Amino acid sequence: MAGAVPGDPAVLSLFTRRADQADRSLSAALEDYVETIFRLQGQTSTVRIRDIAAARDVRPSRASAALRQLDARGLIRHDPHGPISLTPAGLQEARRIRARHEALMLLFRQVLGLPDEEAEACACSMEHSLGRQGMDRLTRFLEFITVCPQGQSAIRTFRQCDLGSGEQRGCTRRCLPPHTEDCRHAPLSLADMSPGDLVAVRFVAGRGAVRQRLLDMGILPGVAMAVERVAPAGGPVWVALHGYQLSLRRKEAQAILVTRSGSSA
Amino acid sequence: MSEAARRSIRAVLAGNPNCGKTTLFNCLTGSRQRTGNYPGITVEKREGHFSQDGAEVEILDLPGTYGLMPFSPEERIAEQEIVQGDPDVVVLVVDSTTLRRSLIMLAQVMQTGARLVLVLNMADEAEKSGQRIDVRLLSSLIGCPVVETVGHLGRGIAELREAIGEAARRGQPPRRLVLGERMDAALHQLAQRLIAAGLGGKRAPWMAARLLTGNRDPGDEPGLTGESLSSLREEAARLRARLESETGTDIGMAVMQCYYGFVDGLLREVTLHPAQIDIRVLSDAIDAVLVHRIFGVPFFLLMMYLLFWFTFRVGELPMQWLSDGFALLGGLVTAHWPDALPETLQSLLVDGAIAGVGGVIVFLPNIAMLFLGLGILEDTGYMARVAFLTDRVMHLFGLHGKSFVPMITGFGCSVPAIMATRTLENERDRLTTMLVVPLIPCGARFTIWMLLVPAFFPEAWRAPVLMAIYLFGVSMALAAAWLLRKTALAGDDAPFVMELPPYRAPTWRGLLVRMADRCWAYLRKAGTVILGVSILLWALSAFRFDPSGPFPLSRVEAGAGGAEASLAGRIGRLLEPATAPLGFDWRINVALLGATAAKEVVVSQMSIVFAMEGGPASPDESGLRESLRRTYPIPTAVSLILFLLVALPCVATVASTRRESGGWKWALWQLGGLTALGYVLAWLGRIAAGLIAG
Ligand SMILES: Nc1nc2c(ncn2[C@@H]2O[C@H](COP(=O)(O)OP(=O)(O)OP(=O)(O)O)[C@@H](O)[C@H]2O)c(=O)[nH]1
Ligand SMILES: [Mg+2]
Repeated sequence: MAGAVPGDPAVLSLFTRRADQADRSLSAALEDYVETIFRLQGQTSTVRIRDIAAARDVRPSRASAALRQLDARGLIRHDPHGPISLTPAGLQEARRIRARHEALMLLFRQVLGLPDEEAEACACSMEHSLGRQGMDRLTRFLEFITVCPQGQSAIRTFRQCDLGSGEQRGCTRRCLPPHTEDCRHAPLSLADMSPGDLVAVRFVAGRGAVRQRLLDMGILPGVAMAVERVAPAGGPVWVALHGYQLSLRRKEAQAILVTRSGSSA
Repeated sequence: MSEAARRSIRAVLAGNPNCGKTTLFNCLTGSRQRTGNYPGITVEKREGHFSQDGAEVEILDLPGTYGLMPFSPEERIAEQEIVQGDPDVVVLVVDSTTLRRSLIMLAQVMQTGARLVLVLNMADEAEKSGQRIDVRLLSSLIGCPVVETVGHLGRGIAELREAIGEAARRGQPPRRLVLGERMDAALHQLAQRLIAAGLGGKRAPWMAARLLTGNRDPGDEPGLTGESLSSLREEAARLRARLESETGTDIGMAVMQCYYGFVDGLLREVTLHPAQIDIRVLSDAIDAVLVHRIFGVPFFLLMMYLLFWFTFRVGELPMQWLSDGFALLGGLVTAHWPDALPETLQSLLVDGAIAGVGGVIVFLPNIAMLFLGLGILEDTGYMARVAFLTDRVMHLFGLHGKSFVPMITGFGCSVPAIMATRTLENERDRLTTMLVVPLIPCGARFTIWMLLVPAFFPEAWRAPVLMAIYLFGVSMALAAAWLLRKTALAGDDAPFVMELPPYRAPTWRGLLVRMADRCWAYLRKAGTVILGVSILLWALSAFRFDPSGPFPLSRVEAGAGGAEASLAGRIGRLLEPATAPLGFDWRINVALLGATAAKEVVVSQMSIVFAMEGGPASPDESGLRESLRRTYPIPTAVSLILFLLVALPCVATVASTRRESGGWKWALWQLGGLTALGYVLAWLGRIAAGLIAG
């Protein structure tokens, strides 16, 4: 799961493993035991009580009490002093727990962009407290948002935002079309200007190569531009700035939010 | 000899589009790469050589870019050559009149740690504006040689050569870039991590900047394992988040603001006099007329009309001389033919080579005038205005703004035009442009118009008809593009941001050199491909199948009947059922077959056929036009013009489409689609012309 990106096949297979048939009546502690045994089984051939106790960091007597409960539910095979193994039902339960953990890690790490340890901590504290139905819905939603292209692009936009500061504004603005940003003082874009207008750049919206090109060409907040001419019928806009002249299509001009500072005409 | 003398230096020329890189490249190396006063002419890297102080300098001309962050294909090439290519010297060319924008690239190149020569080109214009820069101070501040040049006049070239040699010798990288405390700290921290991960120390600051802006990972760097890469990315994300919250903007903007801060500071230091006179006053006054809201487009049409009128008017007289010259030559050969030599050889020489090749060469003056005219339009900067004026229409038909350069190139020849589509990032835009480019009438077809238009239309009509042909070709290209974008190549359209350079006076030398190059290429083609095909066509017209003799071929008798019996006649006749709706006879059919090799062959074939039918050779243009007029009615002429305009792209065109589109599929679609379209249009044109004329 380490290198998985939303939308890649590894993520998809995660959802096909959604095991929701199992009866969710195990306590958090017992779930952890199942998970531990599952993990240890992958590592060593024979799993013994003291391995489990060591992994869970408890006294062997407490571990054997828990194992008795699991045995009673038919999730493990455990003859006294012999090795311990998961029954088919136990294996299924273990996989369900693992899938749930991975889904939560996907949420915290890939979608929300938390560092690994942080994501791990959040997933651990959430996985036991979430009810079966809530978890199921969340899994389905994650599947939807990470597989559907619009969802992917929304996640990408979100991840590129200024997540460190508590400010949501800068981020939300990116996904709004430029002129719906703030309805009260309808901000103007370069596309709304007419020949002869002198403007000052307020913000350059948009993303990726186009925005980079505009920035590279010196269109930054505070820069003054003069609108030289506008081609008829929705044609390109011709502006002068920094001692040179530039023609932009309407669509790019709309990404440049400006304030009018005067008119030469 | 010393070690240094044997050394070779690898240098690259980088900088904004249209700042004069190729002009300098041509001065340095003596090559003749294409230049012009609008951005985006160079699309491929080109290599050249010169020697300096005994060292061999290998210099690379790159496509222009506004930055080094690898977003567009040009930027990717530039970044690759400057960073990965690890050249000895990066020659950064900037336009002195727009330093505030151009020096952004200086900041970026300094970050790459490359050894640098800064070239302040267009020094003439900067001087005119009153701007004065303290070059010595600038050089010591950034720690690399700085040279002022005037590319198109070749001023400062010797100093530039020296500076390149010096930079390579001195071997020290430029000063460290100062971008403000926070940014520097973040970049430094990332750079340290990169160095710890084993990445080259010199490149670390640049890789750090790239990581920080997060536009691409250094995953392509060898020696970075998955683990160190992901921890690096995490570190970068953390620093990015912190910077973003501190500056209150996104990282892309924050980095650019730092670059601009650096440039502003630098310019404050080194500017002795700021620019006082607006050098664009004249340019703006011209634009007020030429790019007028209402009259802009009519002016453009007028300009085209003048260009065509000019090619006819000025080209006509020398064409007549050349034509007389070839007629004289043919006559001389015939008159002085030694009896000892076979008569067939004489016919080959006079009717084949002289008529075929001469028929094409006589249009050299017209071709020269066409390229002179196009050269003037390109060098003055008017082409960029045409892009502005026509962008709305181009957009409406689904063509990308960058398609403009390939389309203009297409007036010269379709092959480089198809190559020029490489600047288009999006595969759909690229294919659309590539497929419709052959509809733009190229220089080779121009030869055909030069023969046919005066043959069928009276003097006053010629320029308008030629203009109509061009407009029709361009309209068809637009319509075809629209159709493609609606069907096979549907999709969103890409953005277009274009700089409009000021009008510049072209130099006579530059114009003449380019015109001479084009003429020479035309002559070379006439002497090779066209000569070869002419001889073949002559042979086909001179012999007929004759199973009775010992040899299955025999000479045809002179006169119209004989020619028809020839091999060419047979082949042409075979095709007649197919081309009858268009009014073509066997002569035209054979010419069309030849035209797939090169379009000019149509002219050769007509010259050969009528020369042979006319008995004693007279490859005289007015004679040939006269014969054409007598043989074909106007509707056939119209359908022939339409068919040649649209159908049967030449072999070289199809081959380049195959190469550039990466397979036969689109090349065959282009060939089939255009031919079918041409057939239908020619048929309709013939009917319409018939109705009007009759
Ligand atoms: N006035 C003036 N014009 C120049 C100078 N150097 C070049 N030019 C002109 O500027 C125009 C652009 O030159 P190019 O060499 O094609 O520019 P480039 O940088 O190669 O452009 P791209 O290939 O599009 O990136 C040409 O018309 C040149 O004649 C100069 O020093 N002064
Ligand atoms: Mg160039």
